[in-house]
Order: sequence, then structure tokens, then C-alpha cells
Amino acid sequence: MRKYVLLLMIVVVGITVNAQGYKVIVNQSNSTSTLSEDEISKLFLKKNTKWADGKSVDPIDQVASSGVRKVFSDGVHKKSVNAIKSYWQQTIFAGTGTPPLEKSDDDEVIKYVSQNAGAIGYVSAGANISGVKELKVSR
Amino acid sequence: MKKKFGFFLLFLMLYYVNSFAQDEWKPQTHFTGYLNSIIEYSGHSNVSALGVPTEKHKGIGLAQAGFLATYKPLEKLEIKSTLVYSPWVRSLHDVVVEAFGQYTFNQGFKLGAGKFLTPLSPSNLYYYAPLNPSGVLPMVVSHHMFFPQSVSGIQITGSFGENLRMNYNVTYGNYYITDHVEGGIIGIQGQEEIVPFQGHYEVYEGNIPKSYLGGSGRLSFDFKEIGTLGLNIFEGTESNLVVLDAGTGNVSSLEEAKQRSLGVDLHLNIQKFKLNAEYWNADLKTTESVPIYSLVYKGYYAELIYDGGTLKPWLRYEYIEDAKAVFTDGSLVDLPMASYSSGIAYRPFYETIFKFEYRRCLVEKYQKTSYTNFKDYNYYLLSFVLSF
Repeated sequence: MRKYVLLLMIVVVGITVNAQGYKVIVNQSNSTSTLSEDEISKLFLKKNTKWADGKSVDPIDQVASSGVRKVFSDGVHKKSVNAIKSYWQQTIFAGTGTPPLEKSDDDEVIKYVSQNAGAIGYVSAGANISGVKELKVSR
Repeated sequence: MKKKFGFFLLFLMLYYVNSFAQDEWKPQTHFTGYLNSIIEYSGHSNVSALGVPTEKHKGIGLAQAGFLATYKPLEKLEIKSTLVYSPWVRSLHDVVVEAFGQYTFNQGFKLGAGKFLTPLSPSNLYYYAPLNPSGVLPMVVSHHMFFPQSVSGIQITGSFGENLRMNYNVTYGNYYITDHVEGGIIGIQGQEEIVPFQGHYEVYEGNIPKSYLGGSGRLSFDFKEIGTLGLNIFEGTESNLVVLDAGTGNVSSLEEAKQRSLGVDLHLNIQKFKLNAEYWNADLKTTESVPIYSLVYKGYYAELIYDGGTLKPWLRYEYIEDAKAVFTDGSLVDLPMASYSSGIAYRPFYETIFKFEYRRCLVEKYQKTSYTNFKDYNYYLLSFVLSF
């Protein structure tokens, strides 16, 4: 019986840890501390373009092949990376928007976010994020 | 002294503005494009742009190739160009579907100059192959009888609001008419009537299409994620109307005319379903001829798309009566038609889309002329789109 309880605990802990395999980061000067997944999705899709203090939002994506982008896309947008790329293709062709800049890894995202006041990015759950601020993500 | 100080101040301002811009903005470039190869079959026995019956029922080949480039040297300045090739382009004018620069003063006011896709119907703005589950545009768009594909001139656009967003767009300039221009390989797309038709068609002078003057206006409302309602107007202040000789059926004259088209479009998102619908009505009237000739066009469609991720099945119904012409004796050619179509798009990877669709074109019930061999017909399309 104990074995099953232990197994169940491991599974639950595993699911919880994997539930958010990414950290959302902003510049240290940003006063925002919590955002919902839906709000974050709108920032990355450029549907909301201003922070509460009126500063322009500058979202930074990771390249389409990165593992963390898949986890972020599934978790925040509730859509696949391909679906999000299709969305941006549509906006580019229609002239209604351009996708966020893409960075090749966590370090580049952290560096960019630390240097740009309005930036928001995401990195792997295990990334060292000194120099930037982590946002709490609510559902 | 004052002049020198003024120059110094101006220099200082420019320096700081420029320094600030460089800190905040890095120029961005985007390229995207596609190749659309198709296999098509039609039961239409008279497919020919020249009106001569042929046995050209089936085709295979490259139907369209598009390439888009955008460049944003400044955060508020965008330069965009899209080139689209199809076997039916007649000159470079047709290939350059849009090429413009746009400066954003703020979200409520953007000013652009160049050549624009006429921003009236989303189907016209999204007509590129990777963006649609269907490989055939609705006839109200592909026939270009209600508005031209592109307008070359000046555009003012903007939007206001967050939850309920209002968007406006005003475009004015020159356009040329490419009504009922053929699409696909066998040329039946855009020429679905049994009798090949061109209405108030363009006139080439050498290699240059004759331009007309006109403008468009669109007001649309986005209701959060629920949907969009659009109200549209196109005014062809200097258009033309073709008068056919009553005896021979050949073009007798091109008369100066004015065109006014009014349209409404609705787009609803209901869970994974998307409903698109448009209704258009147009009035074309000569201004100097004796007698005055006038034609009224009407067209609408509705389509339902299910977004199943990689799979998108869809249904569409459309009706149109825009294939009209007037004879010198005042009589009319009138070739209304309807069609049902259904298909599925499969996108296993971002770069690859397979589309299959079936279409039933209904002409027998509607087109009452001296032609006797009118039969409803089937159309099948298999499309393979590669995009990047």
C-alpha cells in the first residue's frame, strides 16, 4: 500500500513540476508581478501591447525548434508551435502585425530582457535568471 | 547668432531622437512565401477564356507562387511588398499585388502610400494559398466585380478600443479592373459561368493597363475573440461599362461610368468553428452615354470551417449575379449562378498543406440564355502548398 502511495506522490509531484516547464521573465524595472496564462498569451500575440504603466510590451520568443517554446506554446497559448506560426503568417500576409523577435536560447532571452524595459520572455524552468524578474503565472 | 543656435538645437534634437531610436529599436525583416501546385478536374465542357468550347477538363501544375517581404527600419515605419505569380498574369502590374510603406503615428492613425490589396473583404486580404483551407476564393472576391484586387494610392487606417475594437480604413487612388480573370491551371476559377465572361474589363494600352480612379472605405468592429462585423464601400468614380453590339455580340463601346459597391461581412468564432459570410451589392451606371445604361450586381457566400488543428474541414455556399452585360438595343446578358463546395485541409507541418475539395456549380437553374447545353457541373481540386 505504501508503495502505491509513494508512486502516486511521485507521479503527482512529477506532473506538478512538469506542469510549468518554463519561467516567464520581465525586466527588473517592471512592476508587474503576476499574470494569467491568457494575459501572457495576449502579450506574446501582440493583442495587448501596453504594460499597466503605459510602457510598450516587447515580447521575445525562442526559435521554433526549441523545447521550451513547445512547452510554453502548449501551456500558455493552448496551441501548437505550428498553429502559432500559422497565426503569424496570416498577420504578416494581411499586414496586421509581425511576430516577436526570436532568440536562439535562454541566455540570449535573459540578456535581451535585462537590457529592455518593456521586454517579456520565457526560459527553461532550470535557467539561471539573475538580472531579470520572474513573473508568477496564474491560470 | 539666433540662426546658428537654431541649427544647433535642431542638431541636438535629431541626435537625441536618433540615439533613443537606436537604443530601443533594431530593424526587422520578415520573408515568407509559398508555392501552390494543383491538380484539378472540371466537368465544365466549355472551359475557355475565349469562348470557344474545348476539351480542357483537367490540369496539373503550379497555380500560384507568392513571395512577401517586410522591412521595419524604424519601429513606426514598415515597408511591405508581395509578389504573386500565376499562369494567368499578363504583366508585371498583375504580379505586384501590394508594395507600400506605412508610417504609424499611433494605433488610431497610420498613413501609407503605394499599392495595397483593397482592404474591403478579409478574403481579399487573406487570399494567399497558405492562409485558406479552400484552394478557391469566394466568387464575390475572385471575380473582382464589386471591387478590384488592389488600389494604388494613399491609405489611412487605424483602430481604437480594447475589448470592443473599432477599425477603419480609407484608401483612394488608381485601380485597374481584372474582372473574371482566370485562376488555377485550366482557368475555371474566376470563370465559373458556362459562357466565359468579362464585364467592365480593363483595356491595355500596349503593356500598360488602363487605370481608373476610385476609393474604398471600411469600418469594422472586433468583439473580443467572438467575431468581427465589417461594413464596406467601394466607389469607382471613374470606371467603365462595356456595351455589346446587339447584332454581333462584340464590344461596341466602353462608356464612362460610376460604380458604387456596398458590402457587409461577418466572422464568428464559436469554439472551434469559424463562420465567414459576406453580402455585396453594386450599381454601375454610365455617366455620359445616351441612353444611360446601368447594371446591378449581387453576390454572397457563407462558409463554416472547423479548426481541428492539423485538419480543417469546411463547407461553403455561394450565389452570385455579376456576369451581366448590356447590348446596344438595351437587352441584357445575365448569367447568375450558385455553388456548393466542401473540402478538407491537412497541415501536418507548418511548411506543408494538402487540400482536397469538391464543388458543385449550379448554372442550369439560373442561366437562361439562348445556349442550350447548360448543365450543372462538378469541380475537383487537389492542392499541395509549400510555404516558409
